[in-house]
Amino acid sequence: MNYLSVALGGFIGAILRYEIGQFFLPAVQEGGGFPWGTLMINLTGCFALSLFLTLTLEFISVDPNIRLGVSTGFLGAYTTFSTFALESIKLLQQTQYWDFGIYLFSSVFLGIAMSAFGLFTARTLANYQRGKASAS
Amino acid sequence: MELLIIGVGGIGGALSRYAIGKYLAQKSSLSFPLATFLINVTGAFFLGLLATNMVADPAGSLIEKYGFQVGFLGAYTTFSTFTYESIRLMEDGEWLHFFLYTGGSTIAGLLACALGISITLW
Repeated sequence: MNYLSVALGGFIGAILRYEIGQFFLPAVQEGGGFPWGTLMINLTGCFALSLFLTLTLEFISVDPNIRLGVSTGFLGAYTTFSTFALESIKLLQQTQYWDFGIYLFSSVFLGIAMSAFGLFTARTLANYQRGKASAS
Repeated sequence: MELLIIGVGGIGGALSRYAIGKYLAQKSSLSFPLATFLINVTGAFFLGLLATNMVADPAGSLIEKYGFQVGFLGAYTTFSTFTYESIRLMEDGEWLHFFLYTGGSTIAGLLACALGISITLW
């Protein structure tokens, strides 16, 4: 059953990643090959995973299969490391050193910042809910 | 049609990542997220290996491009778990592991990808 939820999440996550990548293709071409698609996918996915895991591990109990399907399946497959590495190397090969530096820095540091922001948002939401519950 | 191929590749990639993660979690009790590290570095290597084939043969096959590169390897590797585990290490005050994990994944991932590319060009 847990393999099934990971599989289903992986199916949807991979397709969504491709579709969003296609959506950003014009921006990539206009931006001289800067990989906007993967950057947007990874940053949104980092925020979403951290928000979801913090909420479901610390505050709301959900079915473990749903948690696994959404986190390991869907968001794990939606975000990607291999394409990030390949696009970085390609920017280096094309001697776009500025783009390489900006892409590498924003993926890793903003990715970590988005994860921290997701965790912070989840805890703020949970505290707000608790405050409302204890006031009523 | 390519969407279905990507989706099926995504199933294979996500399941492989899950199985490897589960296997390594039983083997080690390190606070260092070894599974994601190994998955991302090996996935980057294989994408470098396959991507240069595509340059040599631009027509490529649907299965190779959409099934293996976008679907399987895209879903096998993960960025969100990488950054989530990073902030958990920070929160636990595991600063050495945090720097080793974020720096190590990035440097080893890029080097592995470059290695995959250079092997096929050789």
